[in-house]
Amino acid sequence: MKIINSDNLELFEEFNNESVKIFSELEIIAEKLEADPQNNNLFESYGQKVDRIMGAAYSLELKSLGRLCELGKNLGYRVSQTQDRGNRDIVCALLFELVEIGAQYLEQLMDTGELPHAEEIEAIIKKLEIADNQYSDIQRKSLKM
Amino acid sequence: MPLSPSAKILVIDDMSTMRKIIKNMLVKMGHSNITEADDGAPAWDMLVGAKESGVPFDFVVSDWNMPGLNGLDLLKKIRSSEDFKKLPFLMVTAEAEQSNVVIAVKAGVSNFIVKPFSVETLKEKIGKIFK
Repeated sequence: MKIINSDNLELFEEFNNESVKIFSELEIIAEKLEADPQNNNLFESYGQKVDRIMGAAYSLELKSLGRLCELGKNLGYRVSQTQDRGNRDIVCALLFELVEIGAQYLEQLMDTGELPHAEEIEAIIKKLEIADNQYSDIQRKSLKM
Repeated sequence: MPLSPSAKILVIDDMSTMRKIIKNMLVKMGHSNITEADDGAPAWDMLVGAKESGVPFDFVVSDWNMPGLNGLDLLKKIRSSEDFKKLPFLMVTAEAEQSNVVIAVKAGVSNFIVKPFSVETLKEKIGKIFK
């Protein structure tokens, strides 16, 4: 389905430019997390950054991308509040994969002007939902106050 | 009293895409005097500068999650200032977590709106502030 047209092209281009930059920053955080999965500040920082893409993605009706980022945000914030949970390596790998799939989604979107095929993004969304459920007892899934 | 079409509005969000989306909605609602800020800190300077120049802002629409001065801290700063304590402030949030809403209300938010939202919802929220 074509969602980018001459009326909204500028807006989508701006969103793409901003999101590509944020995904690059998220990739750096994810790399650091893979080396240091106990670093709660990095998880918090990941949650805060991916949150920025989430709001704009939902507003542009990019629901899959919005959901992907929402789960990354939830996990980032939730894991940052834990100490001795055993699944951090898996979460780190998922947060890394989120960056890769999110960036691919954007590339396809901008190349075709159409909503990208959902299979890959839906697959990682399912994995993220399973991981997020394991931390569902942790209430705060947004900015620390 | 309803918000005048010529009202001076400050839109604050660290994502320029979101600022543009909100600005477009406000334009659709008939507003034209809209200024943007990418964080709470420059927004505060703009508020002070506008007040000093004798053309203060009438309304603030601010995102909550920003890396510098976030929306909540900006709101607290505004409410603790004699000059701006009554300035209408609409908080934009990514989700309606009950705890966040309570915190924002305690801090003196005029209303809040959850992303994504439509022009109609924005209009309704603004309408409730400017009854």
